[in-house]
Amino acid sequence: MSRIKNKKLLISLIIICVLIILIILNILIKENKRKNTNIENQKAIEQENQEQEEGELLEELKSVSESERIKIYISKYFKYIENKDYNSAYELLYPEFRNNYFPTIEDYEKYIEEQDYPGLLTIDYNDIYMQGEYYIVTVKIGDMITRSETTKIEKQLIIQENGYNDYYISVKM
Amino acid sequence: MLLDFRIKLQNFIRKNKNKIFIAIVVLTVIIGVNIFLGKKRESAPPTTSYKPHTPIISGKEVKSKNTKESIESKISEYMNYCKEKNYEAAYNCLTDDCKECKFKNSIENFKKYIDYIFDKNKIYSIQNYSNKDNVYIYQVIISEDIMATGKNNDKSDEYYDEKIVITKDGNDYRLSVAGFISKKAMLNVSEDEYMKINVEEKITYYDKIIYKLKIRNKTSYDIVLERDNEEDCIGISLSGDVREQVIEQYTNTEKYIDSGQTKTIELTFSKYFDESKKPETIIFNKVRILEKYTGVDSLWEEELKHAIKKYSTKISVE
Repeated sequence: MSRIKNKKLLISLIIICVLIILIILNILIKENKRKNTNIENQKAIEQENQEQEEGELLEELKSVSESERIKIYISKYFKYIENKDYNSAYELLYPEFRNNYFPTIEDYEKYIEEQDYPGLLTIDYNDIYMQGEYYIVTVKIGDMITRSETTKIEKQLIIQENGYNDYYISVKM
Repeated sequence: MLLDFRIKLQNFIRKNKNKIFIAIVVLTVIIGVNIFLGKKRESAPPTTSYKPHTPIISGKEVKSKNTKESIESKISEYMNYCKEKNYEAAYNCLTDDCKECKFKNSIENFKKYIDYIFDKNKIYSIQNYSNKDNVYIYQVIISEDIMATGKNNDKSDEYYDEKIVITKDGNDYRLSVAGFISKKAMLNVSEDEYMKINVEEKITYYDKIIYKLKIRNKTSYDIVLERDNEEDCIGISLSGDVREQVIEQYTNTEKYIDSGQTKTIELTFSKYFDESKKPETIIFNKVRILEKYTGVDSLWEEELKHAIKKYSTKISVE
């Protein structure tokens, strides 16, 4: 009698354990799913934000003058450099120019580091003219902190605009 | 209450169905136009101050989309042949007159011209310069591919520019390059007791005109029109403005015709194609009829002293 009682107890215990395990597994799966959903949601939100930003940028580009548009493109390029987002800056380079002078991203990073740009940049636009469909822009890059006139770096950039926010840049080094 | 409302609504619709229909149509049109304009604005390219088909010197803008596309396509075709060194195909894009006047009908001359301009990977840009009398003149600037090089070469700032003329030939367009525009046969004649002058041909370039003249000496004397480096001998009148002939440096400019002989000479005058001034007459300021002309400097004064006649004459080139 006691043996049967023990057996029943054991079975009950086993069932309870299995149930507890199942509950725990369920909680873990739900938690994982929630996390994934959060990550996906976050990605979706980030994408939505990015699309919204691009949409706003597009609207801005359509509303400003031609020279302002070109300045926005140049500003974006140097912003990437300022933020050390070298990949994004690299992607803006004209493909053939990139292949000729910076076959790898590491070559480009090395070049940028050699330029010794200040941590926070100011950009003065000295000259802008067109050669055919290309814009040739001369800029002076300065330090936003020191505002020194003597340490400004002059650069000439060539921009090919294929559409709104669709452009390539080449740089005279 | 609901039934009442439904009945009122039905009555209203029945009474005003025409007006409702018109309102729906108008609303649909407004929304449709709005969507269409919205889409058009979306697809409109960025504004640019580069207007390749707006003439920068004179004439009206090339408005027709077909014409613009045909011109761009023809120039692109020609440039691609040049870059690929497909000389024959490029040569065949030219007008017959251009082949004759600029390259003396020699593809070898054309090859040298192409090889001089297209020595490396080059790009080009076009700009309408002037349009006149169905002749479209475009300035073409050929330079290195600055997007690919970033202007990092020594010669990045160098470029070659010339005028290309596009004329319609049936359904196709043909090109004249290196500033050549046209060749025209002329029948102008001027004759006096000493000589007969025939203006046979006029060759027009963008920045000059060249007249080919055949001059027959009717006398037994020598006729001197110009000695080497002598000034104020030959000029052209353009709407009252007189210009001297253009002389290449280090060229012998002597022009004379021996007794009883006929000579063909070429006279070059500076004149832009899109200038409003029209050529009127070629003026020979110093025609000297001499017993004998030796061409020797030391004998010139003596020869001139015994000149049969000294006079000036002109011939119409209108």
